[in-house]
Amino acid sequence: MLFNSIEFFLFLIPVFFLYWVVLKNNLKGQNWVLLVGSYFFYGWWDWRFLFLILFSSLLDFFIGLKLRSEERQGRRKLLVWLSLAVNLGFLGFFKYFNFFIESFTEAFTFFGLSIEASRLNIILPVGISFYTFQTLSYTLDVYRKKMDASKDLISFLTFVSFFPQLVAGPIERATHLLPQFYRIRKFDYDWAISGAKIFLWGFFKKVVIADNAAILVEGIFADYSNQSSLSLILGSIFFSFQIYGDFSGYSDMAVGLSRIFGFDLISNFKFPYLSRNISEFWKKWHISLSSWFRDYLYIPLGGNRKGKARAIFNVFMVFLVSGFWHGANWTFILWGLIHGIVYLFYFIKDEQKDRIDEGFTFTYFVQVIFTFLIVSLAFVFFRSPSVADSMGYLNGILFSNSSSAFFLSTSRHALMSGITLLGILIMMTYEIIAQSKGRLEVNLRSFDLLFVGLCIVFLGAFKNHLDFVYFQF
Amino acid sequence: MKRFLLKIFSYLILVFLIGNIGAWSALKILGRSYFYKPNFIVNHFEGKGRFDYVIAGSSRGLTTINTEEVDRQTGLKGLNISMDDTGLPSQFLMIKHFFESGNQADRVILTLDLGHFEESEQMLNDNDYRFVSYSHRDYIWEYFYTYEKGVIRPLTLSNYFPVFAIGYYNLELVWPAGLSLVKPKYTNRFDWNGNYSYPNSSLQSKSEEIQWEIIEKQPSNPILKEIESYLKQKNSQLILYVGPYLGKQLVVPGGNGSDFPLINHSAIFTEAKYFFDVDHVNDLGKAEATQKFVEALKPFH
Repeated sequence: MLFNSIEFFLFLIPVFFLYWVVLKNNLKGQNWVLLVGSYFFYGWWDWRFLFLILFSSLLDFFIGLKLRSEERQGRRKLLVWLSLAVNLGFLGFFKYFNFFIESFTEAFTFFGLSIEASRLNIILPVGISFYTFQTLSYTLDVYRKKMDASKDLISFLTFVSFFPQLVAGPIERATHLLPQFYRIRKFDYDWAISGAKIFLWGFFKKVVIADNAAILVEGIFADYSNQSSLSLILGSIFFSFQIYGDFSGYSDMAVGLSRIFGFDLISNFKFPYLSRNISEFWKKWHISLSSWFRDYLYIPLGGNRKGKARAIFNVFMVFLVSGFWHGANWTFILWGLIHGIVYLFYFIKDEQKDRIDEGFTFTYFVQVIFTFLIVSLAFVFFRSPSVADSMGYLNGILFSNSSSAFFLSTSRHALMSGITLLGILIMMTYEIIAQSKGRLEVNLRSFDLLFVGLCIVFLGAFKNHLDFVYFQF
Repeated sequence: MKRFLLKIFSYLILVFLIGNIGAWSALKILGRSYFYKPNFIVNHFEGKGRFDYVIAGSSRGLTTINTEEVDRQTGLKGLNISMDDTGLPSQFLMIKHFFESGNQADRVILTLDLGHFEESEQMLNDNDYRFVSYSHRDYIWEYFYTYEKGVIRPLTLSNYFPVFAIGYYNLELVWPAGLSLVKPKYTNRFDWNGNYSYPNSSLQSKSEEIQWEIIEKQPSNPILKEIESYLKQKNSQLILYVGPYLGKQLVVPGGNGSDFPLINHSAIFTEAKYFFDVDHVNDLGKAEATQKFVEALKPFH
């Protein structure tokens, strides 16, 4: 059930009325509505995976309770390792089993040996990487005594499966989201309106930018060996905006929906394409994942407390794991490594600290464009099916002799390119204005709401709409 | 919460109203243009088109016969009303649209694809939105109503709320409307005889490599009877035409003893050089197919 589908709106309307009208001021009832709604929402994809999320949630709930009463450090460690093993075991099996099997057999082939290993026909449960990290954050925080274990099973199950952010984040921390399920939620007009606005903005980014760009990106990447350099450059730029429109669009819709139900989720994106360097980019892109890795990987590894060399290693590890989190393919690992290497450049120069805002100077724009180009080139690895294809694509950017350009190959594609560029222009204008005013999200006034609404109607790709890219992670 | 819902609804209604005004304007502009073939048929002939024959069908009908050449050789007057990516139901719709727009033709030569000989899927075809400017006409609205599926049916609803169709098919309708505003006589991928040719390239297969398949079929699709019956009311004759395929030969059991006159040119070419792809001829194939068609048409003069 996609946020931009009729089915979702038909689902949302009764949930909203049950939640705010029938069960007004009834905390337990509201949580039940959210829980049943969330399981229905998730089961819409594949009901079999409901058992997986339920099992994972129950395990962490009971481990949390046990951690609450257990004082012996050895036992506590054992419990947290059990949670890690089971949750990461599920994730590893569903997401990485075939990758490891293939890499293993390829490694043997490399050394002249041949071994037989069969791939399993595994369907990846939607959003498993997101809810696994969310539930792990709970167990780890209870273990570290940063929060009390939940005694409310319904609230906990709802926290893990909360439908607005279940399948593609933001990855919420238990310390932030879980207590919100314990508190009476009263309808707040301004909060709900801000939610509706940000939902609309996310919807715009998804259907106007991401879904239009997707067709062009697919055409260019699928036939990269016959494309001109310009077409390949545009393909990587379009993909950068496709994935941003898609992922940040989903996050905005998730944040907006949550506000409508009286919740507060963290902002996952803060205008990342206005970053002046990679360090700043990672403070603005997929914030919930980067901060997760910071708190549960970088700092436990020692952070920067054990000297510069160790800190560099830790940063490198974070980017490596971050790449791997995205998918079971060497392309994602390389994507993470590229970001890691560029990040380390700034890290070593100690430029990762926030700079004082210098305003929109010429230098600022040069830095922003330079950073964007690095991000776009790295995304070639993210989008390509294999490392060889990525290298072929990058080689084509530099040395292609072809004059073929998919984005101009038919009047339809030329039109789509125009619409995508127009969408990007509109989005970036709003983002630049918001950033210049120090806002964390775009501000849509009455005129803007009408304008964005009409853009969705007249420019949105409803006929060709696609799943959200990050659902596969 | 009431205030919230009121605000949401007021914006939704405002977008809906403005969207409908924009959509209605776009459809009006398209409805008066030549952009798509249904528009061309209405506006170019203004209900006064009189033809000896028209060629209906899908992309195979659109690209196989050059009606200009047929007319030059036979002295007849023809028009190609075929449209790509269509099945028999929407070809019937096009035939109806041609006649209901006030035009006349003595014969309708229907280029029947092998996949539609016996039955057709009950679904919309990819290019049916091209009729949407005329969804207020009964036969078009009924077609949309019958064939469109889904919770929200943009084409069916377009008669009352054009914003649904314009929103769903915005790429196909909004931008052509904009272009039509500037160039109202611009035709999209067909000339003023209704013809279109694919780019002139040839398949590279060698003749001995081509695997020929013999397909036995009777033209028994119930829609054919409906078309025939409709055409009788319009004093027009239905002739079936099967254009050339590469590697497929149609055999109608009992010769041409079906209910309809049939020109079977499915296997007239055995070489790939005549084809753009296995279902469509190139310029060379088109010239040759047209020549053979002229010969086959003589008994019907």
